[in-house]
Amino acid sequence: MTKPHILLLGEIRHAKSEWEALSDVATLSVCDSANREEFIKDLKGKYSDIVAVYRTFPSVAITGRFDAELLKEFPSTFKYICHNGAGYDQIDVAPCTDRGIHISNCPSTVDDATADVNMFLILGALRNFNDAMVNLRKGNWNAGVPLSNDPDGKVLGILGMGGIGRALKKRAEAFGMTVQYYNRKELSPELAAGAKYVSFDELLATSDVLSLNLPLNPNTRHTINKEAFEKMKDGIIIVNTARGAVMDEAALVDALASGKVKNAGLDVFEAEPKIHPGLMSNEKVILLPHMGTLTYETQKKMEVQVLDNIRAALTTAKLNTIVPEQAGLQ
Amino acid sequence: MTKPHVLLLGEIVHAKDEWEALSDIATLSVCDSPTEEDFIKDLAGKYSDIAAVYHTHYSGPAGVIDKDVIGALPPSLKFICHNGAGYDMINVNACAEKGILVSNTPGTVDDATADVNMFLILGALREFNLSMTTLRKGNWNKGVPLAHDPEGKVLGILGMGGIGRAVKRRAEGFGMITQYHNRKPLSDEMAAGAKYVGFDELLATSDVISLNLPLNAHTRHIINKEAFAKMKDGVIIANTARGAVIDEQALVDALESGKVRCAGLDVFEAEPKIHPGLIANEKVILLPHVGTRTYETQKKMEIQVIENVRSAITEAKLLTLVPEHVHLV
Repeated sequence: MTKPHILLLGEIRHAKSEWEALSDVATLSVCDSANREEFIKDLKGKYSDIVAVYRTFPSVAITGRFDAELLKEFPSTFKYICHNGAGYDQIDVAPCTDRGIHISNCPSTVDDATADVNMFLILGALRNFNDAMVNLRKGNWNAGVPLSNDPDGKVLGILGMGGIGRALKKRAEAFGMTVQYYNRKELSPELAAGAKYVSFDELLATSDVLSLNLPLNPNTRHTINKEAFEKMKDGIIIVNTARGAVMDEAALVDALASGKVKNAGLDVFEAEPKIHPGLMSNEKVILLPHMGTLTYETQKKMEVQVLDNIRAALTTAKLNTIVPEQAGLQ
Repeated sequence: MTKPHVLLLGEIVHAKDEWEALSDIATLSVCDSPTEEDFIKDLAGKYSDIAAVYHTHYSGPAGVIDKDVIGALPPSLKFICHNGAGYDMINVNACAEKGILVSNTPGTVDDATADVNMFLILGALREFNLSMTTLRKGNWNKGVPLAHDPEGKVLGILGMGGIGRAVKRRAEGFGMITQYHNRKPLSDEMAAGAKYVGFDELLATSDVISLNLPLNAHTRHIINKEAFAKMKDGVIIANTARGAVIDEQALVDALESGKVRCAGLDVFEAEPKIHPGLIANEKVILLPHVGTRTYETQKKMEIQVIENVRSAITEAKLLTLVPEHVHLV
């Protein structure tokens, strides 16, 4: 019996031997389609018997989003999308479910590295470090750099208390912060580990620092908008390592200009790599170009997690880390 | 009986009420001598009866308390209460010889300084300065290489005082393992699980080295060319102590050779001047001595100095004597 055919969309940089090792259970191809149009042709040609895909975040530049229009071009053999990344908003889940296609992502392997970026941004925003670093690099030492604020004793509100949110709590507490959270559902006391569960509105109204740690989907787009900013404390700090589009970027720029938001730390942007000019021209805000998991150690762990999902799918017909929306399907 | 005379050298910004409240037990003056020379004269004139000084490291007269200043201090002066954890600008030995005791501000500085320290460790491990700079140039993350996680890395703390211990607590939140070298090993309770190692072992086995020791004659350039040669290839260096504990030229050389993969610095040997080799390096993450520059911590420090002054006046003792003077009381 021939081995199932699996396709790599994008690059594997660290777990190359683990990828090659899959050849004991599968035939491996690396996608060389130049663009979406060619990919669709190839899905009817050389990829017309694929069972699973290992897809990467950057591969969207070739294939475009995995929307209904693309998914209907996949062969009937196709069953599994194993995505490299915690956020999988590049994939429309509903049409996958309709077609019996199951999706895995990379929870947990991303938690520490993303929470590290998140804490760096919280400190950078509270302490106005971008201002200070820019001032130094201009040759002005700390002239004109105003005093800032300590994290100690401040209330950190975490919107989305998944693995990353909980990893962030651990870090924030080492800096003396008090943590509260809002989540779709309240966590068990064990998982919450002392963090207070509050409503969305109370989170907005009572947090000194608000950290966005929720997935992007049709329900969460622009969760933080003009109305949300109005409910927040004056001088709040905003930090986002989730997806840019959970926040209305123009509304954030307005809130920074008015002083409602004292400072912000961002690793993600609505239309990245494009950034709102109102942020680029602001020397106080601390901005990173989606560095969340970009370390050797974490990238390798994530690649291995995707490969383990593929192996599990092919050998047990079950994914290890199926996305939450599809949890009931297997 | 007249109240003792207390002199302020510098400014009180946040704890003005607490300073004014000292007038119940002291006469308060703010130094207005225009130059150092004038100040020396005033020490024989209007300040000739001062009993205690609230000292800040400012650019005015006696910002640096050297042998010349100490020589001119009146015999009534017994206490210098310094605002700052680092007091390397005060010649504490010459003070002791003249019977003057000095206090600094340990404890109140710990959290804010450790916060800067952890930011720099993260920034250097993750090489965030390069990615922030690349973004600000309009190039997103183009050409930015992968970096490294703190998790599982060994953090070597040189100087396990209040700040070093505060750094340890933070670093553990990021999954780092802490070892330290100190003049003396700490009690198990204070070490809280950190392993005590010799200086050479700290250098040889740490993935990240954090400098958290005071600057004095023994510690100047403790991190020099020979020290770098003993370190792991690709080590990360973080310094929030005093610039001069590191030979800055040797650091620049070590960065160039790759011995040091990246550095995070809040202090510099000749600050505000910075070695051009550091300015030209886009990977290193540099802050302009912002260690305790928050409203909350600045106020706590000012109050701590004022409390030292009050204790000096009412009980003839300081609350937070500098370590070099502890044996004198």
